[in-house]
Amino acid sequence: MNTNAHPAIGYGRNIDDPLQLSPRQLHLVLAPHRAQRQMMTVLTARLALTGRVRLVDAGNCFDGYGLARQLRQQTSYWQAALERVSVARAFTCYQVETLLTESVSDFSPVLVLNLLDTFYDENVRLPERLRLLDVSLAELRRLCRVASVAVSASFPTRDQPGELLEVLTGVAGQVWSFEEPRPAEPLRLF
Amino acid sequence: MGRTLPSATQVFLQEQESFLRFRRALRRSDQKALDDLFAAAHKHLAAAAYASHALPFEVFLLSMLLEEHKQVLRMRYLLNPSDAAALEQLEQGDSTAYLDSLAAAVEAGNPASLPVPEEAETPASAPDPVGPEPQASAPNLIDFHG
Amino acid sequence: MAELKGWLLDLFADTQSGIVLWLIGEDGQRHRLTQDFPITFYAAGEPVRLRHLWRFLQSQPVKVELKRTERRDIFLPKPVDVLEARVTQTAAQPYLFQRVAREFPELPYYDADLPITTRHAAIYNTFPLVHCQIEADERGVVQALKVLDTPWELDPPPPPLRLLAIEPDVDPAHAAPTALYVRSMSVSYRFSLQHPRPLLINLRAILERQDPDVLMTAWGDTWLLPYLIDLADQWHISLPLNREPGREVIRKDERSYQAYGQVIYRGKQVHLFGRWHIDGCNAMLFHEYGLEGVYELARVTALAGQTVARVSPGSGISAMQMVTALRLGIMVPWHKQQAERPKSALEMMQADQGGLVYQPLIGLHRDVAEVDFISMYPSIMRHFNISPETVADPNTMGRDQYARLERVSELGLWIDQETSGLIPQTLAPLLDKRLELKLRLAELPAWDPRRQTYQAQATAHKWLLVTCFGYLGYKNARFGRIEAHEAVTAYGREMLLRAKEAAEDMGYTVLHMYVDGLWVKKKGLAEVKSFQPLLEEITTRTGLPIALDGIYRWVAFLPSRVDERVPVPNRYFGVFKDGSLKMRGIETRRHDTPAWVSNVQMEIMDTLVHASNVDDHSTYLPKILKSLRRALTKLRTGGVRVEDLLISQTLSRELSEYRTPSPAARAATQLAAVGKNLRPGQRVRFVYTLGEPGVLAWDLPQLPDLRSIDQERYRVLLFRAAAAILQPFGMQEQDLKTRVIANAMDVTFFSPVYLKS
Repeated sequence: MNTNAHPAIGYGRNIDDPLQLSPRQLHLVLAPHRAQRQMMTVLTARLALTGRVRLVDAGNCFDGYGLARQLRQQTSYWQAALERVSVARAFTCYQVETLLTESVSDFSPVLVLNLLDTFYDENVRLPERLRLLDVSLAELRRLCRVASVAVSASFPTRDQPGELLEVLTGVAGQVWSFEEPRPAEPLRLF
Repeated sequence: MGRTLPSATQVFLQEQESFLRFRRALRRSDQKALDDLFAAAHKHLAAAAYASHALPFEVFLLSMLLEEHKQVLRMRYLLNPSDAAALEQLEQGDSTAYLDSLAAAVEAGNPASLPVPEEAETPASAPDPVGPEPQASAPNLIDFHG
Repeated sequence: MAELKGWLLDLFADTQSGIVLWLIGEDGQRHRLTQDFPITFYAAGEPVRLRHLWRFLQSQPVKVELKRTERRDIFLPKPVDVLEARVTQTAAQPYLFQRVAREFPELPYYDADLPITTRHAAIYNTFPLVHCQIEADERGVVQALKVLDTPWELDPPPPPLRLLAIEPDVDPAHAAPTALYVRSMSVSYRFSLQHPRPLLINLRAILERQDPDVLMTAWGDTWLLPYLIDLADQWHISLPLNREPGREVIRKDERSYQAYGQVIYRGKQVHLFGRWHIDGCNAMLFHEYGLEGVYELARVTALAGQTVARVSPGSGISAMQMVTALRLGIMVPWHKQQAERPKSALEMMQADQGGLVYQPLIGLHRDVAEVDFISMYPSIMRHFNISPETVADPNTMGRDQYARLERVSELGLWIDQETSGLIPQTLAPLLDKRLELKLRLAELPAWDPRRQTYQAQATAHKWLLVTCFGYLGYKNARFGRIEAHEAVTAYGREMLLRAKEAAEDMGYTVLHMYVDGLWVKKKGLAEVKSFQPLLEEITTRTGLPIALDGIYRWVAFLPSRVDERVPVPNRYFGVFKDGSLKMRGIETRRHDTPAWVSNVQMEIMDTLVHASNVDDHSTYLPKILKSLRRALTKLRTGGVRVEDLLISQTLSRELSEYRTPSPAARAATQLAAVGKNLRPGQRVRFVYTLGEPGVLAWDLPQLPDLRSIDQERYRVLLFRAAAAILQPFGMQEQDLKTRVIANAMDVTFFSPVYLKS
């Protein structure tokens, strides 16, 4: 009922193509917030059809209702599928590190939403944030050995340090990047 | 502070927005009627929130239906002014009295509550709280339960 | 050995070792004492790293006593192995800890950065203004300390505080001050700022003679004290602002930060040693509870007076939790590490909600009772023992433990009922005192001088309690836990519904509900005592205290400003049986309403309150129309002061971040052009003017000219404000305008645009 049509171009993919997760890879989805959110919702729905999914919401952006609608479109057992999705939220970069450190290694896929959001908080010194990010990524690599792991993140704004994203891309195995198209003035019919 | 999912009000506004194209293409008078439906659903946001339904729009639809039904109840009373007291309570948001009398009517076997088009009218031994039966041939919008 | 009795005024780390205490003696003297006060903090983590930390600490120049031990972390079921570091030199601990944290950033630390007053309170039960008995030796070193009262007493004998007030003659943000007023109980002076030397000499003399305990200022943080300090420097005349010799005052920078979903601005600060500096213009919520409120907050939170006056209530609650934790032997984490336990998506939908907020029936209602739970969320926390450590997951417990648990109805959460939680233990005495105070206030006659003090204290308590719930879910709260926060709202929804059911079972109609309150009516019931059975039934079903806020003669629920069909949960006003008015969400209460408009609104309300028959327009409408016409005429003929036309709005972001500048942003730009730079979170005052840019900032060198005021804009505001109130009485905004114009003497004044709108 609620569709967000969102133009996005990049590396020959468009937003509706299903993201395929390979085993033992740390996948990274780089996109503006809304696109990121939608793609991860679609991915979660697809995974929940056949098994448990663990979500780490690191950007306070879990779209519960969007997920329910997606599932309802795909299966009549949408409620059971919804119950297979577990969510844990982290509101500070310290909590992200704690959550990942405490996550048990098992076979169910792990999706981390908007990983870098809390790491852009200026109230924590940058060296400390980089340290926490390093630990978090190490934990993600640990989880990766047994389960599929996908992380979404957005591009830093002008005021935000680029190092954080660099560290993340350095560690990611498979990267899908979606950029906002340049604001051109297309001809409009109406 | 830890709020992740949109509030019932926010979900409501999002759903309303998602129907803007539909609304635009309606005639102006129909647009007003549609707005009334959404205003009706707006009255029950607290209950919708408490319901914690995974598909909130279903609860909004139920709320619209609820208000529609209250309109029907109101109109029934307009046909029978002697129930003015119960009508006033209805206006105040309390349909207890009406529902009680409706239950009593059902028990008394009044066919007006359960229209079965082919059935002949039973003899009026019990009082008819809903009002005189309209012509059987004319479309019976008031007693129509669908 | 001297035995001193008095009140503790100030407590801070000494430059040498230990701490300094300033005591207001019962003998009328102010005594400076010192006390040994070692600071202990803890580190946990990998044993290898702790060994390295041990060696690191041993190599530091500061003397540290080290020990391995076990202590309690509230979030863990069993005590943790920790390294205990005891620093003898109080003042050295913060810097030492900074170095430790930099060298070993990954270790969890506890009790590392706590206020000194908090630590002292945990050990000795002290708090600012505590009445105590001290044994000190000839050098003034404390040998024994015993407290003689607690923060929870209602009428402790008040300390004989000496106050001195200093304020400039005008708001420095608005114009350059030319004089200072200095006042105490006994003296009052005015000094010209044009003559700095006599000013400084006199001020020094007054400070020495009066020797105040509390220095009250206006703009002391942001202008006055920095100005005086600089002046004293320039003229080489020392100003003994500190009572403590040999110290500089503490100066803190201004900052803007995000918290609780808003941008908050904190001005520069000046803190003194040995006495309190309170700046009435920079103190948090000062207009709500004044100096008495500050005293009460200091007592109850054990935070220094100068601190508690400036920090948000959240910091106050946090400090209270820390004291309780320390006393219970629970370590206070340095950083909030605890993260949420995973929930299913369905559980998230049930848990992630606030209180129930209904849509009221728009319009006027008669003989309505407002019934409110008393401090609902804190009461829930206490009654149901909700605390970060009591929220349990039965999956991690043995079956034999299940008996201790109580299930939170709709959430997959269980609360351990057996051990009293940290939060309930922290809140219990505060809730009890609040209740006692309310009862006392209800009994006191209106003329009793104690009313003002009790009122201020009650307001201070209210703010603390209102904040503690939000603080439970706050991401940075040391003892915060989102599951506990969610359990509280779940209980809140459940209890409100039970209250509704109780009312409906007893034949009441429920007109409106809002988180912790209901508006009910029942035919024939209009006396306070008739509602007693309802209150009792609700308390029986919920276990929570509930009270009758009042019975309205009439109450009007207003619709949304945007769509008249749509009700709004928190916009109403009404008159209680005793004639007093209550209103929420109306223009008068909003900052961005000019005084000229809110004055008229109050006049209209007043007319309505005194109307003999609210159903008959003729009993009140003529008077209201007159009020409106009078206000409009004054505006038109230049009879309204510019000050009364000021709009006050907050700047929500940096000026450069505005895509289309709001009126506040445009006014702030004008101020920036004359060197007055405002930060996000600060308020901008301005008037609406004709032409571009449509606003003129207040606080500019030139005052706005009345002739440049955009009168049309203000008329719109006035009619909107009036219509908001009169709408439930059957008066539409258009009707109102027509009637106001109809009998106006000068019809030609009202522009055609206005007439047809």
